[in-house]
Order: sequence, then structure tokens, then C-alpha cells
Amino acid sequence: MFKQAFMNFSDSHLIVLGFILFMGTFLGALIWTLFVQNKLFYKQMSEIPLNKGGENGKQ
Amino acid sequence: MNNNDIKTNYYDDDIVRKFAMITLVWAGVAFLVGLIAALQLAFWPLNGGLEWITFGRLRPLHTNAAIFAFAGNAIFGGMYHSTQRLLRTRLFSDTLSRIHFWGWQLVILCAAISLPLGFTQGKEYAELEWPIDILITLVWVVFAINFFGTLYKRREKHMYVAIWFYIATILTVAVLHIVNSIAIPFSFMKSYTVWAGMQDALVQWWYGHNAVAFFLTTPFLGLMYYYVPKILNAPIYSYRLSIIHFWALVFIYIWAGPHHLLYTSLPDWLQTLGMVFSVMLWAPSWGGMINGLLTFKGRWHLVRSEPVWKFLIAALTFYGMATFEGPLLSIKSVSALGHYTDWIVGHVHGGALGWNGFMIFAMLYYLVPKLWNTELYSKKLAEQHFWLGLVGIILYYVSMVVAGVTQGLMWKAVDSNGLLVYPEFIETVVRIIPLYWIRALGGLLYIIGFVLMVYNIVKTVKSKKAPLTDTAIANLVNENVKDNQPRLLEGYATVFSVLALLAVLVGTVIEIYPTLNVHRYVNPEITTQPFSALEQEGRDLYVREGCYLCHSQQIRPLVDEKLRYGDPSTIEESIYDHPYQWGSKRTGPDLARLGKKYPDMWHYRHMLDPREIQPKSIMPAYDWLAKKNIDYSQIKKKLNVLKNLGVPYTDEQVQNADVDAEAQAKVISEGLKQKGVAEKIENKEIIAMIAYLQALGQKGKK
Repeated sequence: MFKQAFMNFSDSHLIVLGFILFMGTFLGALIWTLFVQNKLFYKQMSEIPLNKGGENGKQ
Repeated sequence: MNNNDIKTNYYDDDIVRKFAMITLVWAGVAFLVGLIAALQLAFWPLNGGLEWITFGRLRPLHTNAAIFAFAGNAIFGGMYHSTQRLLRTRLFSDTLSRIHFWGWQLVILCAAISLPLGFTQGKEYAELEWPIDILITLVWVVFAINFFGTLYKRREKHMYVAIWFYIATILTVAVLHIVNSIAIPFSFMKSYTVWAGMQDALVQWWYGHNAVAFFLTTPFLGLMYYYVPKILNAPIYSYRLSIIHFWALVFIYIWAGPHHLLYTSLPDWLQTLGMVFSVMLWAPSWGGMINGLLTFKGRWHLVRSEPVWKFLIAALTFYGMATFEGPLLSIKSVSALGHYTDWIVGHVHGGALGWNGFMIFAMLYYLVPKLWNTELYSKKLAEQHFWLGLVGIILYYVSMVVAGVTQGLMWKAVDSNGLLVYPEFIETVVRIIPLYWIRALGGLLYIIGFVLMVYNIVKTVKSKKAPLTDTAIANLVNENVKDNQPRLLEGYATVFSVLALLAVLVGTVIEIYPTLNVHRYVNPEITTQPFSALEQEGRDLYVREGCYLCHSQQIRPLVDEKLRYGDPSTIEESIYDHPYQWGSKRTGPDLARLGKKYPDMWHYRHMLDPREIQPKSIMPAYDWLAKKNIDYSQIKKKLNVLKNLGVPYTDEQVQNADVDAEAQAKVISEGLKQKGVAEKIENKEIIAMIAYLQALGQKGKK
């Protein structure tokens, strides 16, 4: 099946490399976001536009 | 208060005010030029016989004004406003901010003058000639130094997600602009791109698609992540989702460019790759839209009384629609129907008017009262603006989708004998002209709404209560960027920027690198002859007049196209085309195999008055081609530059270019004289144009 899928691709090693890098980036971002960082950090980050200065923020 | 106090304790609001006001000015220009161009398709005499405002020259002015002047200035204003507040510091340099502002206006002014005069590189959304390209690069570098300098001196350690989108925008646009604009000049305002044929098509749509991605999407998502929470006074629905949204989007977007070239002579693997990554874009795009819309959760009842909220919700909805439709159109079987039609025009305007336009309007309605320390003059006018704009977009979008699908189906209709049901292209044009009028009506409504906004903003600005001052920076004591506490990735601007750039470069390298050696894809049995000197001169006129904006030069391997135009186009046929002229829209028929189909006299009459050949034609008359002389003084230089770029001209051909061109012009004009042309046309541009049109499809044959 893989052979068939790639028969129309030249430089298939580049495609595979791109796919691996994409999956790595995506899974990395997913793991980082869901498991490494904590909820409190996200809460603090999401409130930056509201808490820290600006005209209608909670100064 | 001395200057140092201001620089330490206050945000630079003046630069944001400047960008906000100039956005309105250029929006008016972009919309008006767009309306005139739209009306010209419904009523061709509307160019008034003037070459400078003929569709082929006006359309690039419209797109450049809309993207780089209207959206560009709004982006800069919004980024400078939000970046200062998110990083809790004044911009890096007031001087750089002003150089950025005035430099960008100079770029726009140069574009507004040079495009109607016909100075163009002939590449969509990258038409501007080399001196302006250099100016853009310099202004962008100033902008980047100012932005990253602000990041360096920030007081807030961790960068909010909006800043990430801004970083990706600045870095990627720089890469796109530089790579796509590399050209060799042969005069002060003319050059040839170093890319050719299929290679140029790939680089151009890698740029073109990502101009949409990184000029009209990522900065607007950054603005959305700042202004939606700010206007609602509530945090974004899911910060986690915004992180995944960012990384998935910047990684995937860069691969999607080849979906503009489906069924062309681009290698199949690139087409498939572009299609697959385009479909994958559905997920992150909708993740961002859902994140924005769900921030309104629990507050929907307030939308009724807040016009700015309506603009935000509509903007996000149009973003969702456009990013659903984009991947849909990237599927090869859908592209077979939709490509080259007005469906694409509808799709683009759903995004530009709905997503970008409404987002900018919401931002300005929020910003102007804050920056001028007053209240919005009239909520009622803003409400009326919203409804006029919304109805305008719907009329525009629906009419164009209906026109596109109608024309696409008519092109494809084949009867039981295997013959085209509508063999005359003009039949498919006449059928959709009523829809062009509806499109123009939609655009007019959108403009009327915009005029209400301008009035509302002017009255708001005039009602300012006190002399203008900058906003004081809140919580000045917080210097957590220097607190020596451990940081997360979001706290390291340099590392973050490098990672974002890498995410973008992966797709770039994998798609473009293999095509650098274009000979891998060329049939060695085919020897392509370059254009003669006069044909090349004619080609430059074809580019100058923007013919590629209505005529493609790329026949797809589809049954109806084979029946209508002939054999599918090959890589070899355009291998020496600097720039490629495959086009992306067929307001008129494809011209890839036009050469030798009709006699010279047919072309002469058709260019001077298309109605003489086809009474229902909507093509403007190009009578100035019969009045202006061919500039033979540049021909040697042109061929020399092309030779250096790899076009196989001999030294002799370059040396004798002007003599050869004049000799060929004489042959064509003598032939026309024999057919009854009384005017003295031997040295006129129309002769070069005829030479080029007759050469189409004659190169790169087996």
C-alpha cells in the first residue's frame, strides 16, 4: 500500500521527512499543552490582555 | 513631564492613531477601485478608453490597495497597539515607528502610480517592480527591528498568543517577499524574475497563498486573540486550543500553495501534497474560529445591543466559512469545476470583506474612542454599517458562487456525441453578466456602509474631550522579565522565533527544493525554442496590460478543455517564461494554443475593437497599442538578461535583437497592409503583440 501511495511521488524521502516533522510538531504541541504545562499558567496567560494595563483592564 | 518620562511611562498611541486614520483613507481607495473594476466586467466601456484604468491595470491596483494598504495599515496599527499593552512597554523606537509609517505610505503611493502606468512583474499580488520591492524590504526590516526591539525590552516575561502570531507574520512575510521577488532588472522600472515557467508558478503560489496565510490570516488571528477578549472583557475560551491552533496552522499553511495549480503541468506529487495539506488546514482553522466564537459563551444576549460584537461574530463566521471553502476548493475534483471561475473571486471576497474587513471595522470602532479619549459618536450608525456590509457581502458572495458554478458547468457540458454544448466561450460569459451587476450592487452596499463608518469616526474624533495624550503604562513596577525565575518556552522570544521560522521553512524547502532542478521533470526529446526578440517584446506588452488576469495559458488534462482548447499544456512549453503567465481566471478563453489559430488581421481587428469580431465581447479595446511605438532600445538588454537567466539565446541573437525584431515587425505589417490596413503601423506595439499571440503554443512541441 505504501509503495502504491508513493509511486507518484518523486523525492518521497522528503515527503516522509516532512510528515514526520509535522507529526512531531503537532504531537509535541499537544503533549506540551495538555500534559506539561498546568492550568494555572494558562489562566494567567489568558488574562494578560485583561489584567496588565490597557484602557479597560482590571488594573 | 520630560521626554524620558514619556518613553518610560507611556505607550506610543500617536503611531496607532496615524495607522488607524490612514487605514480608512486607503480602504476608500481600495473599495472604490474594486467597484469600478467590477462594473467594467458588467459594462466594458467604463474604462473610458483610457489605458491607465483598464481592467488589466486596475485589478492589481485594487488587490494591492486592499491587501497591503487597507489590511496592511490596519495590521500595523493593531499590532503596535496590542503589542505595547501585552508586553507592557512603549515601542522600541518612536523614530523607527514613524519611518515605518511614512515608508509604507510611500510604498503604497509608488504602487498607486506605477501599476496604472503598466509597470508590473506580472505576478499576482507581487506585481510591484524591483525598486518598490527593495523599498518594501527596507520598510519591513525597520518594522521587524521595531517589533523585536520591543520584545527585547518587554516587562512581561511570557508572550501572549497574539504575539506568537505577530512573530510568525513578520518572519514569514520577509521570507516570502524576498524569495518571490528576486529579479534581474534591465531598466529603472522593469525586470525579469529569476524563476521561470513551472518553477515560477510554484514559487508564485507558494508566495500568493501564504500572502493570504501570513498577511491576511495570522496577523488577524493575533488581533482576534487580543481584541475579542479585550472588547468582551473576558479571557479567550481556551488558551490551550490557541497554542495547538498556532503551531498546527503555521506548520501546515506553508505547504498548501500548490492547490492553486491543480491539473496544471506542475508535477503530480506537488499537486497531491498541496491538496492533502489544504484539507488538513480545516482542523486548525476551525479550531481558531471555534475558540473565538466560544469566548462569547454566556454573553450572546449582549450581541443584540453591541454592533462591535456583531462585527466580531460575523468576522469569525466568515473566517470559518472561508477556511471551510478553501480546503473544499483544493480537492482536485472540486477544483476541476471551480478553478478559473468567479467562484474563486467569491471565495476570496468572503474572506477579505467578511473576515479581514469586519475584523478591522470592529477594531477601529473599539480603538478610535479609546485613542481619542471619547465615546463612539453613534452606535446606531455602526449598527446600520454592519447590516449594510453584511447584506453587501452576501450579495457579492452568492452572485459570484452562482456565476462560477454556472460558468464551470457550461464549460464542462458535453452532449451525447461527445461535443461541447457551449462551444462558443462568449455564451458562458453573457450568461453570467447579470450576476456581475448583482456583485457590483453588493460592493456598493458595502461601500455605503463604509461611508457611514467614516462619518461616524470623524464625528467621534471631533468630539474628543481633551488634548490628545498617550496612555500611561499600567503596573510599571512589574519587571518579571528580569526576575531570574524559570521561564517556559513562551518566555524566550529568540528561541520561540527560531522554532516558528523552522516550522515555516520545512514545507518551503520540501516543496521548492526538488523543483530547483527543473530538468528532472522535462522530456529530453523536446527542445523548446525561446521567443524571438519581437515576440518577447510582445510578451512584455501582454504582461504590461495584465492580460493574464482574464486569460489563462494553461490547458488542463480534462475532457472539455481538450475539446475546447487542444492538448493539455506541458512543462516544456513554458520552461523559458519569465514570468510564467498561466493565469488564475478565465474571464476570457485560455490562450495557450492561440498561435496560428487565426490570421494576423483577425488579431489586429480584435485588439482594436473586440466587438468587430465578437459582438457580445466584454473585452476592452486596446487601440493605444496601434498608437504607441515599440521601444526597440531595450530589446538587446532584455534578451541579454534572459540569456543570463538560462534562456538559450545565442550571442548573435542578443546582438541582433533590435534588427531581428524590426525585420519581423516589417513582415507582419506588410501582411496587414496587403489585407487593407492603411495606417502606418510598422513600429507600433500592436505588431509586437500580434507576434507574441501568434507564438503561443508554438514552442516546446515534440
